[in-house]
Amino acid sequence: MRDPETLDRRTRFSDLLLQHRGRLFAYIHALVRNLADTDDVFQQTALALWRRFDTYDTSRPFLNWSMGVARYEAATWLRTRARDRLRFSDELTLLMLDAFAELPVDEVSDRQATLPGCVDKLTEQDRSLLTECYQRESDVATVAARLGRSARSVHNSLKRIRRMLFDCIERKIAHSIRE
Amino acid sequence: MTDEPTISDHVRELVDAYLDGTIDTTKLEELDSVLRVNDAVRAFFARYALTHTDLAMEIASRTATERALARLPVQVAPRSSDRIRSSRSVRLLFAASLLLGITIGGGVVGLFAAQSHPKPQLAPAPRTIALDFREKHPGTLADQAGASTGFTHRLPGTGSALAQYDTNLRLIPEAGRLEVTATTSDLNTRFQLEQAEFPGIRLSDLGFTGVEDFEVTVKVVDVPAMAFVGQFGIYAGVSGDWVVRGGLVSQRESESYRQFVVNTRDGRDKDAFFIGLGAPGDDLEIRLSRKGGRFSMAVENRTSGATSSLTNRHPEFLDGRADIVVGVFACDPRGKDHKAVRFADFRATVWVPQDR
Repeated sequence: MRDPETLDRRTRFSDLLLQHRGRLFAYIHALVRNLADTDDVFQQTALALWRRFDTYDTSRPFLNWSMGVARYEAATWLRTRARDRLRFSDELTLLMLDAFAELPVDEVSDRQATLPGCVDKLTEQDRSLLTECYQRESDVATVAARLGRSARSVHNSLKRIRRMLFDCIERKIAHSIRE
Repeated sequence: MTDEPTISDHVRELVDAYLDGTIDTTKLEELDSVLRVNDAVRAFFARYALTHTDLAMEIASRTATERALARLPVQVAPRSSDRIRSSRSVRLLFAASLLLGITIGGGVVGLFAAQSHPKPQLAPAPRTIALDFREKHPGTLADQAGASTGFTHRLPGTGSALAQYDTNLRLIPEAGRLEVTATTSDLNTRFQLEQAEFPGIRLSDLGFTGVEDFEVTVKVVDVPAMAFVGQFGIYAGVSGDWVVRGGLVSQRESESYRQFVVNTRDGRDKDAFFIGLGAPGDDLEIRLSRKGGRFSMAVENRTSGATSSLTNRHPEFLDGRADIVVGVFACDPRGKDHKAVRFADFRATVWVPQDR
């Protein structure tokens, strides 16, 4: 086991960021709702964390500290780059920080590991729709126009697929806990 | 994993709308206030949003993998040792076939003889009328503004009281849609057929003589909410009295549809078959076909992802009839606020012998 005292600053920072990246990334994604934008805000957050790492109080959880910085970076990003995008109140983003931080780290990794099997169970048509919406990062109206469907119908399909996947993950995790 | 509290469908709907960006200001404020005061809903949101994020990453990695695999060479050149093995295998197979030929010599010769003089059999060729509703077709049924819809006929016995510029039809070329507003009518009991909307085309215009296979398809976009027994879909028939039709029919429960197919015999609905569910907002593709003399209907719900095949008693009254008209319909016998059904991509195909 490595002794923290002997690790240099950069390695300690990398370890902490890698350890908490899943929940940090998900929190930013929940605030900005676009994968490319989430990547940008994540990069800016990581740089800001690195710059302030000397002031980090190691008695506090790294995740809460990093999410606090991410919350600020996301708010700045939304204010300057996506003014027309509807967003949560400041009070809620602060409360949401705790909700994401309280997700057990094992559960986060279990959920990630379980998802591919659940996606495999979808129909080809449903997977194709997910690719249209998630890979191309198109909004629902654009996807609907491309597919010759209504926005409402595409929204309903996405809702149904997300719920199927969410329920599938919940079932599999519950099953593995029982075992 | 949590012991998840019950989250109402309404809150789930708000969360989904937030995640896919379709939420409006009012609903966002509602979601914001629910999340601020309720820890359990926040915990649910965090897990649900995590699935949303993981899904985005999963789809990105799947697509990247597929793209990478598609770039790999299709065939790898065989190594020299493989070629030697292959040629040996071919020689062995050849020798085995010779032995087999000796054993059943007459049969082998007969087989080759039969193959050397195949009888020419041409498969019937499809003839199709496709209406994408993006352009006007002069000389066809006109909508409320006089725009020609592409439908050339109505089901005989229906629509005699409808205006020349039919106020229930609205062509929207920029969207590729034909809106058909349902009227107070129903084939069952011949209820107000003079204003029933059954626009269509004659199969005989595609070379149909009464015996050929045919297929009719149409898409329905953003299904409207209709009153009980409000219905829409596609049909094939020779008059308002003798028809097979199917699609969706509204149920007593609010905002609920069932898929159906039914024969109208002498003005009465018979042999009805119901299956599956639908809801306002769904997108559908409906297909009615006669292959090898057998009718079948399929409804693909493009929103729910489900496809249902519907079969009912064979409408023998259409056998051998050359005067079949096929098309779309929308009826709302009990409703007061008649809704428009949005049709797209209508296609009718007849498979005609190539020597005709």
